[in-house]
Amino acid sequence: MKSARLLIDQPLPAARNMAIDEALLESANIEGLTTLRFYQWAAPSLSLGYFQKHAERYTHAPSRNIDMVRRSTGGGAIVHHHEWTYSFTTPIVDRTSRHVEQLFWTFHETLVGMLAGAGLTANIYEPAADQNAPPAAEPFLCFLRRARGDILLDGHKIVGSAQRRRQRAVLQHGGILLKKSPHAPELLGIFDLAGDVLAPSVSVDHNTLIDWSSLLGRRLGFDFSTGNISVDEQQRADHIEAEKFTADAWTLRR
Amino acid sequence: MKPEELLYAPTHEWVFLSDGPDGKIATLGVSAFAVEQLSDLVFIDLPEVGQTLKAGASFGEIESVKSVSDLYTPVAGEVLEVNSGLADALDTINDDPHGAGWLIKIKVSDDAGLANLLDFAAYQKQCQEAQ
Repeated sequence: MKSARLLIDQPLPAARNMAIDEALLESANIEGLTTLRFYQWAAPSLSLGYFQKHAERYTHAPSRNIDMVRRSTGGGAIVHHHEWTYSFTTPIVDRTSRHVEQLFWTFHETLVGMLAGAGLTANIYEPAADQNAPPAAEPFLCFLRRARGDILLDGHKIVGSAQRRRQRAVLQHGGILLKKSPHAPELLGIFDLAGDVLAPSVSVDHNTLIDWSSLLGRRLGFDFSTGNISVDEQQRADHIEAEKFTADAWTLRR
Repeated sequence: MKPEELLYAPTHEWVFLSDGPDGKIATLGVSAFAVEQLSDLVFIDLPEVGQTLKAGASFGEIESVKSVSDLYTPVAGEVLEVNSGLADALDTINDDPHGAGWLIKIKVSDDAGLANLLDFAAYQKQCQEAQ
C-alpha cells in the first residue's frame, strides 16, 4: 500500500477551493503526491464546467446571484450548497490509460456500496447502446445531465465526477448532492430521496468520509492518513487563487 | 497522412515535419489511439496564430464527456496555422485524426524536442504497455 493524504477541510470560498485543488494537482504532477480532499463551500456557489460559457448562468434564474467560479474540470455547472465535494489528485503514467478512467468507477462503485450499507439502492448509470454519444445540447446543470458512470438514486443523479488530465497527474472532481437547494430547486439530494430509510439523525459527517476513504484506499492501493496542506501548497494556492480563479480572464474566458 | 509516416510524442500527439521557406514546419495532431481512448469529444481549445510555444508546453485542451485533457507540443516554435474549423466539427478528429483532424502547424524554432519523438512501431509498443 502506498501512503496518501486525506484532507477534510472546513468550508472555503469558491475560488479558494479551486485554487487548493490546483495546487494539489501540481503536487501530484511534480512531486508524485496523492491526495484525497473532501470539502464544502463557505457560501452557496456555482461552478462552471471548464468549457461552459459564463453567460449561460443567466439562463438559470435560481442560481444567478450566487458566487461563481470556473472549474478546470469539464462537464456541466454545479450548485454547491447542500453537498460534499471531493477532489482526488494523483500521479499517472499515461493520461489515456484505462487506469485513469477506472478512477471514476472506483469512486462511484464504493459510494454505491456505502449507500447500500445505509439501506439505499443506488445504481450506476449505463446508457443504452445507441445513446453513448452526448446529445448536441446538454442541460446547463451537471446533475440534469446523464453520462455513463453517474450515480442515480430513484432515477435522480446524486453523484457526478469529472477529470482534468495533465501529462503526469490527474485531478478528479466529484459532487455528492445531499439535499435540495433553493438555488437549484429542480435537483433532489440523497436525503430528499431517502424517504424513511434514513433516520433524521443521520448525517454525512467526517466519520462517513473516513469510512469511504478506507474503501477507496483498499481498491486503489493507498493507505490514506489524515494530513494537512503544506505551507508551500498554501502559498501556491494563494498565487493560483489571485492569478486564475478570481481573475475575469479565467472566469469569463468563454 | 499514413500513421506509419508520422512521428509521435509519448503524450500521444503526432508530428509531421515538412520544409517551409524559413525552416521546418511541424504539423501536430492527436493520435488515433488517444482519440479512441478519450472517446466522445465535445470541445477543443487551440492557441492563436502567432503564439510562441515552448517544447513540452500545453498548447490546448480537449474535452470528452468526462475529462479535460491538456495537449502538449514536443517542439518549440511559433503557431503558423490553426485548424479552427474543428471546434464546430469535432467528428473530423474522430473520422480522420491523422489527416483532416490536424490541430496546428508550428514554425519550428528549436528542434531539440524532435529527438524524443517515437516512430510508429515504438509508439505502438508504448500504447500497448500503457494499457
